[in-house]
Amino acid sequence: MIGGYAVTLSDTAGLRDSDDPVEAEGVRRARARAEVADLRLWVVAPGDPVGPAGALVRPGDLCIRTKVDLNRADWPDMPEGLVTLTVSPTAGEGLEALTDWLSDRLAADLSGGDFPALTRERHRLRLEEALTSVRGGRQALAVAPELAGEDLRRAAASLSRITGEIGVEDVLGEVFASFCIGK
Amino acid sequence: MSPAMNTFDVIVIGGGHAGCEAAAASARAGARTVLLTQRLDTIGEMSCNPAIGGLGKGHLVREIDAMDGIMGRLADVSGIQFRMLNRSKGAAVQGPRSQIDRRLYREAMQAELAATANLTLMAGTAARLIVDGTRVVGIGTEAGESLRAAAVVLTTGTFLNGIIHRGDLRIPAGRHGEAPSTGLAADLHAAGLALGRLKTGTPARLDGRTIAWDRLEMQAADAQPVPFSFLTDRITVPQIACGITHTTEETHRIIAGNLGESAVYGGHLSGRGPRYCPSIEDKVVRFADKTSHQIFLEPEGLDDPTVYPNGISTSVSEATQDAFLRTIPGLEAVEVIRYGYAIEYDYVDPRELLPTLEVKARPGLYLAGQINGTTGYEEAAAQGLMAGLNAARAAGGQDAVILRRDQAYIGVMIDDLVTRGVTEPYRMFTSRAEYRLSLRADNADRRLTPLAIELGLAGADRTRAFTPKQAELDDVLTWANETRFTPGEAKALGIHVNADGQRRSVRDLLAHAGVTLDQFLPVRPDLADVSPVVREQLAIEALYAGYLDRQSADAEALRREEDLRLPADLDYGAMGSLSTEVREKLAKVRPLTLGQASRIEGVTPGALTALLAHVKKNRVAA
Repeated sequence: MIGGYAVTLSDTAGLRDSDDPVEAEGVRRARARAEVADLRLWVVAPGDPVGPAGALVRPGDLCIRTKVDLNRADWPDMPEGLVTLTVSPTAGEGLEALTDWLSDRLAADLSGGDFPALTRERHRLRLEEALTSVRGGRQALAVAPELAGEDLRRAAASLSRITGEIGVEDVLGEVFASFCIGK
Repeated sequence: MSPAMNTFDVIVIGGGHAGCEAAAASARAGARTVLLTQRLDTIGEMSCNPAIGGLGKGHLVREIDAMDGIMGRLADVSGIQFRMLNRSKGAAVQGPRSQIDRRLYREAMQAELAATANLTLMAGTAARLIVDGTRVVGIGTEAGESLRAAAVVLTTGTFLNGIIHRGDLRIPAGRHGEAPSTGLAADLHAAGLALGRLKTGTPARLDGRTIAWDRLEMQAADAQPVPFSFLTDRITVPQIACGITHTTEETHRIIAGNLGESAVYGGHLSGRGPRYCPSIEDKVVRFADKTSHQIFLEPEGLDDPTVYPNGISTSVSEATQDAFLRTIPGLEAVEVIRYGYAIEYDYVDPRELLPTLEVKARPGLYLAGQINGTTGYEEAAAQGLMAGLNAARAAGGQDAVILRRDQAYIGVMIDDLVTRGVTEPYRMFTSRAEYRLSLRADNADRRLTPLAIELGLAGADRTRAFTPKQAELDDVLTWANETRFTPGEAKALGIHVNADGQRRSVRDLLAHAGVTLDQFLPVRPDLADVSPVVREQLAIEALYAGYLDRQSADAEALRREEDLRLPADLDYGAMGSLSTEVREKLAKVRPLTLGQASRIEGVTPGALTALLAHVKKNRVAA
């Protein structure tokens, strides 16, 4: 889960020519995966050659410069149009910014103007369920807040049957990002 | 000791809240039990906040009590500031909480355990597990003794590879002044269990005689304290007030200027702490726009000057603690009794456990409490209860007991732990329970005491108190559900509803504003004798009626999935229709049921269908 979206992250084999049939098959699969992925993350360290990955990435993809704690500047030349972020897993730097960037990118790709089309009857039914629950919750708020909470939980459950899970942890994360509980 | 004296049904290691509840449950279930702990005089110690209950946690205490556990009763004889939290909200989200007199609680616990039949208390340090193949059959102590048992419950809290951090200080320790257990940690490592690292923290303890109480806002206890235990009629311990103060901009400035001393910000520890209980350093960094944070000043006992300042746990140096504390209103001249610290410790990935809390790779070994990645006395005690119960039942050759998510918060917690694992210390919240409208603190006895009686876990007092209440409730609730009135008949009772010809049940009518049970006296005169407890239950059930019906339909669906058991030897690696990721996750958790499989993160409805198809096909083939 990144930014509330269920994401499939593939950590592929390194792209290199190999005579070993097993490794060659791994590289072939990595290329196939990269071709169909919505976003490619290209991780480079100082001194790395551009290599075959340079031909696979597309404008809008992300280049992650790692090991910045080495303080070296000999980065490989990148194709144009890539976004660059720097990280140092050893020093724990830049990882939060990376997650934030991925969250924003996912939100931008998956919401707003480009709302994913509702193509099935199932989608329509789930959305109607969610709407009914939200309306019920608005009424329940006047009676008992815990009932409104139950309605919202049901609405989230209906939506999550289309979008993937909206878990309790996501809700708690939101709550505690803005608020400390007393007791 | 003779061999017979060294042989038990169940050995419980650790005298904290998980260990005490585990030992008591095991002994109640009829197993010959020994509780082994480093020091008998610290059994039942509250090493952090001297309080029990709260939101979600109060529910756990009521459920422990409903299973005839001990935490609720002991809190009732040692609680010094009872407050029902969320009183303004509905019954489902209210949580009983009390400040506890640490000495009274410890003494009550030690007396309770000393008087428990089937239970031996033993001082000593467990140094190693004794195994026969992979099965755990006993433990070896540091003094060189061997204790044998059919089951061992390990509740070592933060004692596994514990390290205390304060400023520059690094002290290997379990709890303040006590040694960590490193031998057991090595044994768990050797068993191949996945271990992780978590941290937690505690604030400085203050000398209440140096606090300017007269200048502070005070918060009193409830006028009518509501006990934890269903067996307690009323609270007789004197009730006290807590002080309320707050940090200032000067406090934040001092902390911000000394962040490097702190365990986390100085980069000295790797364990992850809880989001919901941040240290004061965390608060200053994460909520930089806030100029003040609330602090509750909680006395640790009636005749103890120690005060626990709730809300400012810290691991900066002693000098910095003194400096920032004295910028807080009321604490200008405060003296510290013991400085705050952060503690980092090993926990076992709870996905290594079955829902019985038995370690999959080490049959006969059960884990409960902080060792499973949880935080809190109540969470620990609830796991202790289930681990002790299941250890005793396994020792006696009886079936395991697993509470479902629609049955108890305890079931929600254990299912969360063993299915999803933890990334921060796990604390109970009411939002974790899908069925929270029916899993209430007020009805914990109705949900669980019949089971406790059936299992032989409930004592005579519990059974005697519960049975008549249950009968009265059943009678009145059945009547309220089944007795229906036309609008005209309702009007005759003084209840005005739409004249739509609909027949409404008593429960439906009670949901209307202003309608009371006494209005039905003309049709059922004996309602005058219905006890206040039963009236309250009826009112809550009426308010939640429509929602409860929907939840029970959901719970029915859950039970169907929980009834679909997955074979323990299922070869997930061979299931080509599942993605590698899903196969790996299923193989790691090895869910017992289809329901549990559905709650593993990343297991999609499609994967579940494939799993179900595979299991059904193989069943036919076999």
